[in-house]
Amino acid sequence: MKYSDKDIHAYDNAVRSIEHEKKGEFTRRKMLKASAATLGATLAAQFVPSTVYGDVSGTIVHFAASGKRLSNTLTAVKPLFDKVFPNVKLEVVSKPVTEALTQINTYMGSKSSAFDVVTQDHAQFAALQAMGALTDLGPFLKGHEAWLADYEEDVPEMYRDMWNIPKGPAPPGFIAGLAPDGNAMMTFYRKDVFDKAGLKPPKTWTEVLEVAKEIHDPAREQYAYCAAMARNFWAGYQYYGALVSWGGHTFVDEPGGDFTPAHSTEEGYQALHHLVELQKYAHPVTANAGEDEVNRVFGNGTAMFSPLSWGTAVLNDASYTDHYRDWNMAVSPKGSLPNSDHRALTGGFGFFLPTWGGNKETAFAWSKFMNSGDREDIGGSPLIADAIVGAGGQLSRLSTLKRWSDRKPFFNGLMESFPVCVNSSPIVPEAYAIMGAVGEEVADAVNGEKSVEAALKACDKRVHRLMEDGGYYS
Amino acid sequence: MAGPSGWFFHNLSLVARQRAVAYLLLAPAVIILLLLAIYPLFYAGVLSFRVDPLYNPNVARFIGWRNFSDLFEDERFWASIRLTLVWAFVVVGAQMILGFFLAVLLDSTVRGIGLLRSLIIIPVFVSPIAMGLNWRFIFEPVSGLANWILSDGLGLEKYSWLSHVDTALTTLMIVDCWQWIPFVALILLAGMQSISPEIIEAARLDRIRGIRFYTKIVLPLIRPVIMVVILIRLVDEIRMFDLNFIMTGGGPGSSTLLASTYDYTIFKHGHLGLMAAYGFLILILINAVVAVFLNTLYRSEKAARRENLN
Amino acid sequence: MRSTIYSKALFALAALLVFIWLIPVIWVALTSIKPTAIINSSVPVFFDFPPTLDHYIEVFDRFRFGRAMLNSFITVGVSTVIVMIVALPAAYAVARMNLMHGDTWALVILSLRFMPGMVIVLPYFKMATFFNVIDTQIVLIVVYVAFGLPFAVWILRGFLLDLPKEIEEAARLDGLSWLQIIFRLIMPMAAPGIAVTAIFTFVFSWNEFLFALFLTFDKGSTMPVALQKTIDLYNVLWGSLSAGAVLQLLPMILVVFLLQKHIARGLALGAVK
Repeated sequence: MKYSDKDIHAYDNAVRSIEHEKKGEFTRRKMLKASAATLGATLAAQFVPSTVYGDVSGTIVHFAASGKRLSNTLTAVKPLFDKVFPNVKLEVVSKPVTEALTQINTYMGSKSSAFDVVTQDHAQFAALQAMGALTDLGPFLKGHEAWLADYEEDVPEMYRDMWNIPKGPAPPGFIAGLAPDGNAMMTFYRKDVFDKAGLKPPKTWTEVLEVAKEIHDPAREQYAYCAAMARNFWAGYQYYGALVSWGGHTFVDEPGGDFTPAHSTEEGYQALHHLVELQKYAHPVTANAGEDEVNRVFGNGTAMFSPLSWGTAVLNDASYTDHYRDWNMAVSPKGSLPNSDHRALTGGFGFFLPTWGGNKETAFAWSKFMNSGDREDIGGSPLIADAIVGAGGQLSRLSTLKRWSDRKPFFNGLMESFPVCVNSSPIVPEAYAIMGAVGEEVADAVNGEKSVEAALKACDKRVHRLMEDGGYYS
Repeated sequence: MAGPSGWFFHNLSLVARQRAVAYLLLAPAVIILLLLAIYPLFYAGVLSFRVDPLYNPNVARFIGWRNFSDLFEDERFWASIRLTLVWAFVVVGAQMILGFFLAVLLDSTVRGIGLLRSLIIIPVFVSPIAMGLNWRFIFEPVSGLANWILSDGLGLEKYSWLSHVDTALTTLMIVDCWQWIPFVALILLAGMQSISPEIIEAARLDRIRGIRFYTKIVLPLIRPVIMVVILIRLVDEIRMFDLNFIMTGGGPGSSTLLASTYDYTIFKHGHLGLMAAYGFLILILINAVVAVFLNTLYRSEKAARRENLN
Repeated sequence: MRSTIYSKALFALAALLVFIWLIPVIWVALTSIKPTAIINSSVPVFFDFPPTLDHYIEVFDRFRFGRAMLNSFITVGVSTVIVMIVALPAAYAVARMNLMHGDTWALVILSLRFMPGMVIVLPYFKMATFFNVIDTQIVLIVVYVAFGLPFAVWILRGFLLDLPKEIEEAARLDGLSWLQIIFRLIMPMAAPGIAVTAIFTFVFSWNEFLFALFLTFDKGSTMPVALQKTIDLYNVLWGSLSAGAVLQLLPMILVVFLLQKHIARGLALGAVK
């Protein structure tokens, strides 16, 4: 569904004014504002599936965290799925996103059969593997070679790979999850402010500091930089995003190797040092901010850029901020050591089928449907991506990202970042715990409670203990 | 039965009967609680001697006292205990004193005081999640309401509130007191309203009024209520979690890392054994504080009661 | 004459204090009707905005607040009633009957509330899974009774200790049974304390989050859990959050209004003597 320039113009006007649109016409604004269910229903009304599987029946329960990229997208796509599988009852259940990760681990750790499909953060897949919760999707994909080929072409390999279990006793090609959603850490910047100062988005960390110094103007309440430094995984991501761009790793000689923590290295030092230096030009909330707070100060115009942010598309949303046209994205900066390069820390949410869930065939059919692209000949439809984006989600397929990139500059950033992406967490069950521990030390360093060296040493010590407990050193 | 010995037996069985009835009245509460407390305490007790990662159940095993020794060696653990105790005593002290004054203010028969009482209690009720987040919003250092009042309203400098290690704890204290002072006030007020009208009349006749009336007459009379409130608040403030976690999560840095918040972050990272161990230590801490409190202040209450009976 | 002006002045002071005290809450209420872009503006906006009901609609539509409200009412209401029925006799026994180690019993009861929540929540989750009561109203009622009881007993004990000792003696001489004493004599006299205890038992369970989170999903979840869903990972939906907070607050205000007049009854009971 292509939208002409005239449509886009009308959309802008409609958004800025508070008058109602013409009756009956399902405009962009309505689409982006409607609740996921009504959005889905309206799209479903236009949907004519090529094949209807009326003989498939049963109930499947899908658990996802509540939120725009999560249960909301499911609710939006559900009416489309209902048309293809009219006799399947799909139930979407959710819990608050702040707690969902722990909830999923609790349920899977208890071998619960309550869910047939689960949406979980990619960093948890190693833990899920350790719990024996993952089902190999390979057997289910037999007979869908054309679909799989399309999926593998459209979703970059390095990104797709995060849901294939590479280690351990599982056979090669163990596809544990399908991911309709993707995200990457990248540079977010206010193009209007940068243009006015004659600056380009920074490509190295040295440039980051220079740019920050240049546009930092606290007297006019224009703070240069803001980032999520809350004392948990947020600060952990900041540090790792910087670390990989300097050429560092969590463990020495990762991947493979003996799991010796590698934070007290030159790369680690440079990464954390630059983050600490940036605090001089930071918006005050940086000290303890989660990404929601960062987005808010970006949205209200008091902070101008971040070299590393997860962000999401909310900054391109007209109802969220007046600066929705000015926020642009670029690939995150690199360091200046020999192994440094542009590496985008990447993550996303994928579907997996719990081992103890039921109705596996039907559950797989639903996962496959949601992960289908635009091609109607292999069971997809452009309306699927439309529903996902309309509900506030983001996509992992390059083709659909491209299609929506004119209205969501954020998707341009994703398209640039996926090809150079790096898994945002080590592929061990301890990943989340590592993130949290490192995040706490980084937050202490950034707030001046610890020196950079002391913080990095503490990171090494804590990660070492975590791995020791996991039996990696025996 | 006639005679002194008969009367004695009659009284004895009366006391015993009274005691039996008392146990009967007590029984439902105790039974319910024991049933619902035994398993968790036992479960948590066993867990505290294990390492049991939520993310990797395969490596769960018994490790003896290691969780406890880890905590005792952790500088952050001791800092959080110190911080929690300081927090609890400062905040409860402030709430009791200011709560008393607020109760005095609301102890009136002017029409409309009922409305005021119902309104002032709102801070206690508001969802801690929603209110905590909105407080974070209000205290936002650049665009928040609080700083807007300070700078545009009063012409003062903007304050860093929750965004700096030096000021975050104080800001939290302010919010906590904002929420709980009305609670203390309302309970103290209820106690004040239960005072026998004769005493109030006597005081009026003796021309004891105003602040002297409240400090010299009311305060001693509502002593049991005060003790109750102090204990409840002390225990709750040592366990303080909701506001702390929502507003700062222990940050910036570790400046607001109170015990329960630290315990929860340990839980979120999946270290169930360590979380249980820390939980037990907090439990012991609370019991210790309660024991000390009761020992020193409660003894005098018993003496005062005995005095009342005579 | 002087005292009336004095007390009216105090009232005015109290009213002003209450208003200032409530400004943060008024702010939340205002946020609930502000359009999102204005909520996110860099300068606080007070009244100069076009109000919208979008957030309230979204809260009921997307976050299923109607169902959450019903669950909250039922679980908290029923558990509070049960708590009061069980706590009053227990508190009475501990406070006014010559129980050996009565205060120790009270402390034992209270100490069961000392445990930090998250340590208890896991075993409760396992128990609830075992009895297959996850995501029901029953499970939360049981939990809230367990959590409300210690506090209720302890606070009621305080109020009951307050009352003059002579009441029972007079009543026993008149031949009243213990239950009659409790429900016909003590209850009216301790009405302020009972009202306060009921209010706070209700409130603590009304805002309870951790156990509701672990033990329910969408069907059985209460308002705090539904409210938490307005917190997206990268973006807090301030408007919906505030709208939900207001909805969660209104019944509380009603409950307090209804019960608070019992708090003022003390003065009228001089007739008992």
